[in-house]
Amino acid sequence: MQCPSLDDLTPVHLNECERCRKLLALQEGLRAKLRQSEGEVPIPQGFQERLKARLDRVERAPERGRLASSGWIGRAFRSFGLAACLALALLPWLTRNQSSSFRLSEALAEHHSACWALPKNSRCASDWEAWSQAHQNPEVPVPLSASAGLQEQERRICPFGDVGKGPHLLLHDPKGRQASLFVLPLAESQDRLPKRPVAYRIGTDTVALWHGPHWGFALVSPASENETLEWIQPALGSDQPWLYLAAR
Amino acid sequence: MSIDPELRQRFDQEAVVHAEALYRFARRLADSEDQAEDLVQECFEKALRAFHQYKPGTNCKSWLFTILHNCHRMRMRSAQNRREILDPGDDPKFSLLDRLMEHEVSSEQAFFDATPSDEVRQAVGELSEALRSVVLLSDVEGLTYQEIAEVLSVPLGTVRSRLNRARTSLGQKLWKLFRERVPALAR
Ligand SMILES: [Zn+2]
Ligand SMILES: [Zn+2]
Repeated sequence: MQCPSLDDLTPVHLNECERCRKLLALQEGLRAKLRQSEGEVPIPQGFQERLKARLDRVERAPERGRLASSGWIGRAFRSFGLAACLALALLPWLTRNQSSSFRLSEALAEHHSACWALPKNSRCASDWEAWSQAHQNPEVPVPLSASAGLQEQERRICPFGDVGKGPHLLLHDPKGRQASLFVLPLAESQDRLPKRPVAYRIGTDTVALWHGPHWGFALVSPASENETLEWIQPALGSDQPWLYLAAR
Repeated sequence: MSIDPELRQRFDQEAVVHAEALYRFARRLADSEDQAEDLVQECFEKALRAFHQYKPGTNCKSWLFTILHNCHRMRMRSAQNRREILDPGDDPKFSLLDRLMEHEVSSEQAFFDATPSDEVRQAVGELSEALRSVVLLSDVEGLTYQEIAEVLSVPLGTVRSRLNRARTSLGQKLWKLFRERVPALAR
C-alpha cells in the first residue's frame, strides 16, 4: 500500500494503516519534546525591562534618520556606556560640518535597512498606486530589466521619516545582495541632491546621491563607494536610471 | 512625529507579548545571548515604527518573525550566498520508527521520556540554519507552512521538504545520542 505523506493523511487511511498511526504519533512526540526543550531556553534577566526601555525611547524619539543619535552613530555610541553620554553630548559639534546631503544619506540608509526588514505584505508595498494617482505624470513605473544588472524585487512607498515622498525600489545587485533605489521628487529635495553624484559610506552601506532633469535619486548599495559611483555612471543625466542600472 | 500612545498600547498588547518567543528563536540564529537580545530589540524597534502599517487580523506573531528574520539576514549579508550544506552524517532514508521497532523500544513515549531536553537542544543546534529555522517555526512556534514561507521568503514546497529533512535529521541525531546513552536498550 502506498502511504501519503504525513501532511496529507486522511482519517480513512489513518484508520487502516498502523504504520502511519505510529509515524504520526512519533512526529507528535518529537513536536512536544521540541516545544518542551526549546521552552527551557533561559530568558536573560532584565530582558523585558530593557526592551520596554528601548521601545519607550522609540516612542518619544523624533522620526528616524532626522537625528543622528537615533541612527547607526547612536547605536554605536549606545554600546559604549559612559563614554556614550560624553560622545552624545559632543555629537552636535561632531556633526556640525556634515552637509544636509550626508544627513539625507543617513536617513536613506536607515530606511533601506528598515524597509527590507518589513514583510512583503506590509501595507506600504501597495501604496504605489495611491502615490502615482496623487502625483501628476509619475514617469517612474518602468520595471527593471530582468536579464542583467540590478533586479527589481519590489516597489513601495517609503513608510519612514522624511524620505517618504517618493517610491522606493527594492533591488538585488548581481551578487544577490540587497540594494535600494530611492526616487525623490526633485522639487521636494533639490537642496540636498547634487547634480554630480556623491557617495557616502554609512555603516556597512554606500549611499550615492544625484539628480536628473526632474527626479532625484539615491542608490543604497552594499558595494564600496568607488564601485557604486562607477555603477551609476551610465545612469547619470537620465530620469529613468534603473534602465541604465539594469542594462549593465 | 513621535508614536501615538494608543498605537503603542496596542503594540504592547499584540506584539510585545511575543517577545520571549522571538528571543528564543533569535537565540538559535545568533552566536550569543547579547546578539540575540540585540536582534530582538532591533526587530521590535522596526516593528513599532511600522506598526501603523500592520494589517490587523493577520498573524502578528508571524509578522514579527518575518521582521526578525529579515533583520538577521541584513546582518548576515556577507554570508548570504553561502550554500546550505547537508549534515554529512545525514541519511535521508533514516527512519526513527524502524529503529525503534528493530530495537524493541516499547513506544515513542519511552524513547522521548529517556531523552533529556539538553540533548534535543543539542541536536537542533547541529542542524543547518535553514533546517533549524523551519523546524523551530513549525514545531515550536506553530506557524503554518504558508506563514513560514513568508517569514523565510522561500517557496511553500521548500518549507515542506526542509521540514521533512529537519525531522529526519533530528530523529537520526537523537537516535545516535540515545544509543550512546542506553546501549543495553538499543544495540
Ligand atoms: Zn500509511
Ligand atoms: Zn521603503
